[in-house]
Amino acid sequence: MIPDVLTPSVDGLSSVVYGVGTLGMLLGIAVVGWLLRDETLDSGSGRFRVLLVIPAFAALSYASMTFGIGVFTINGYDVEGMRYLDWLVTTPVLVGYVGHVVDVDRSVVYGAAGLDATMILTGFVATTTTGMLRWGAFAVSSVAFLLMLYVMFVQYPRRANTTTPERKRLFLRLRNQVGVLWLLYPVIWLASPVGFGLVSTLGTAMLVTFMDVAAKVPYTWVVHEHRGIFGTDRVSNDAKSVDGDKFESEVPTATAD
Amino acid sequence: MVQLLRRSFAAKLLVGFALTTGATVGYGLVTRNVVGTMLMATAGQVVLGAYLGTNTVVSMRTLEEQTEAIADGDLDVAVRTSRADELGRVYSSVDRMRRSLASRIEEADEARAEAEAAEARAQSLAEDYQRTATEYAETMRAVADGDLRRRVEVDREHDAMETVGTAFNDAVDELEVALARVDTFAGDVADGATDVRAAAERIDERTDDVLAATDDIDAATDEQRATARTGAEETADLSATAEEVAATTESLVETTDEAADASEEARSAAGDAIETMSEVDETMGEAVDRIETLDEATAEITEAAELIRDIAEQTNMLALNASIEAARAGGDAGNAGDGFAVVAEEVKGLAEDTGDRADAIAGMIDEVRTETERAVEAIRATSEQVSDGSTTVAEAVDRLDDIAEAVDDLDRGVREISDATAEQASAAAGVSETIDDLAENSDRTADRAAEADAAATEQSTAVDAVVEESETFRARSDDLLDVLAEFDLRESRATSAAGGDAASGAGESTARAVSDGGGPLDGAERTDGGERR
Repeated sequence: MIPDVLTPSVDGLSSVVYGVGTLGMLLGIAVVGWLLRDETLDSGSGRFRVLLVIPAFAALSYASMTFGIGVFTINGYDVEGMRYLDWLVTTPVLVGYVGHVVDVDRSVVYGAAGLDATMILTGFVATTTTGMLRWGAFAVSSVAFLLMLYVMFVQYPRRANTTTPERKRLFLRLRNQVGVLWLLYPVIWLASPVGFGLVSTLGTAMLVTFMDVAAKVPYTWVVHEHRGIFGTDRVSNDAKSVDGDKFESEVPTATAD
Repeated sequence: MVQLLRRSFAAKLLVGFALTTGATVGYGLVTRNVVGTMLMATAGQVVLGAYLGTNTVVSMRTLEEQTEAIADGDLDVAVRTSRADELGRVYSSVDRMRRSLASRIEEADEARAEAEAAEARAQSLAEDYQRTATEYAETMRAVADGDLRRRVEVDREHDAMETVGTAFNDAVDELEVALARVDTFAGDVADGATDVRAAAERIDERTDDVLAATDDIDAATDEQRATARTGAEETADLSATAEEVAATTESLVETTDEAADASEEARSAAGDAIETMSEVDETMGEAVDRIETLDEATAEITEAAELIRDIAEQTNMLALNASIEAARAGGDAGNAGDGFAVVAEEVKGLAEDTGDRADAIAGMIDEVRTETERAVEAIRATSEQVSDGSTTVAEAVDRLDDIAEAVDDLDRGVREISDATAEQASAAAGVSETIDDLAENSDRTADRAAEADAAATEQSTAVDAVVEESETFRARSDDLLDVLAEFDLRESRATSAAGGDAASGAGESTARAVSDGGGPLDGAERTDGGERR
């Protein structure tokens, strides 16, 4: 099984789809590279290198998939192993970076990231198993997803330490994108051959690739739009503890860009 | 295109729809799967919603929060966005509104703050004024009660109060200076009155002295007058005596003149005698001279006779020699020798005659000489006698000269006496006149002394009046000093520098007033003191 996974095999349209996905991820790399080169920005404060992991690892993953690497067949289904590896690495980063924007307490961020990883891993289990275990894993994964959404939508605002209007806006935009876009993944899974088989493997690949690119590349672009909050001339904002889920406006000291 | 996308939300929406629709259509064409296509369409809408919708919702929510904050009065919240589209413009409009509102409110706050500050200042000013006025009033009451040392502490912070305080202080300064000067003046007046009294008393004493002195003068002049009269009489006597002496000396002079004439005649006669005797002596002298000349002639004759004798001897010798030669020649030549012998004989005989005659002459001459010597002796004896007589006469003449000189001396002395006596008489007359003048002066002096006496008597009366007046004056000035003592001045009135230590500005003028002996407070000085403020 393992040799099969590592054997490159170009499979017509799927490779084209994954190739387009790879190109899309390269756009994200370019955006983050732009942020890293911008000397007016504090890349340490922006954690742009961490941000770079998202499109970079995704690009590697899609490049691998383009050449058919990491594909294995289990229970009669072709499974893209690199996709799950990609998700396992990049989705916690996406969730964690959302928390970083408003400086959420680390324990909460780790909690969200842990739930995210659990969601991915159980999703992988659901994909590679059959019967009750599959649905059980799917249920666990879904619960982890909901818990993660709870943490992001409820716990993050409560535990945020830096809530300037600009940071808050970036946080809201990133969080809402992630929260809304990811709702489609379980649906696509259910429609895929692994689920109810309503959509072909190619169709699933197109949908997932579209969603992946849509979830990752605009994510970096939005950060780029709000890059002003990571300016080097920016003094660290006075953080006021915020109680409840309502963001209190703090003294603004910089424009968003 | 990018710019349009940045500036227009509608453009974004359109492009988003185009992309998702394209993706959906592409999906459908590739997969031919309805469910998949529906999912793709849904995914596209979700993606659009996730980016554009979420962004809009977030923008609207933050805008809402910020406008609510502004509505709640928090105008420090800057309403900004990175968006440049319609929503971005709404943001900037709201932000402009916020800033405008903030500046209005700030202006209103400032205006209110100013009003409050002005009110506070006015309140503070009123309090300051009241406090200063209270302080001023306290000081003014003290000054009014006579404590002129007091000054108000000038409130420099308020012009009006400063003007009032400074003016009051100046007024009190001037009042103090003026009172100090009046005080000094009154003291000086009192001292002056005392001095006047003392002086008047001294004048009184002096007047008495003057009266006594005039009495003395009166007595002295009387005495002087009497003495002068005695002097005049005595000088008149002196004058008469002197005239008598003069007359006596005149006769004495005549007598001496006669004596002088007599002695002159005697001397003239003696002179004639001496002259005659001198002529005799001269004649005898001539006789002696002639005899001596004769004697010399005889002496020469004697010499001539001796010479002749010598010659005769030599001739004899020659004849001897010639006879010898003739003898020798006779032997040799016969006849020639004979000639010689004859001549020799002849010469020999001549020589012998000559010798004889010479000897005779010599004898005669000796006799003559003896005779002349006798005559000379006789004449000399006579001459000596004449000389003796002449000497005697000369001595007599000398005596006469002495007499004449003595008479002259006498005459001179008498004349001097006469002149002196005349001068004395003249001087005595002058003295007499002087004494008369003196007597007149004494009379006048006596008159003046009488006048002085009368004046001194009047003066004494006047001085008594002055003493009385000065006493009254001093009493008045003492009253004035008592009144002034009720005022407390900052400087001691006892010291002469009373005015000098006064308020810095008025010191000089006060000092001048003191040096003027408490002169009147003329306007110029007062103005001077006033202008120093």
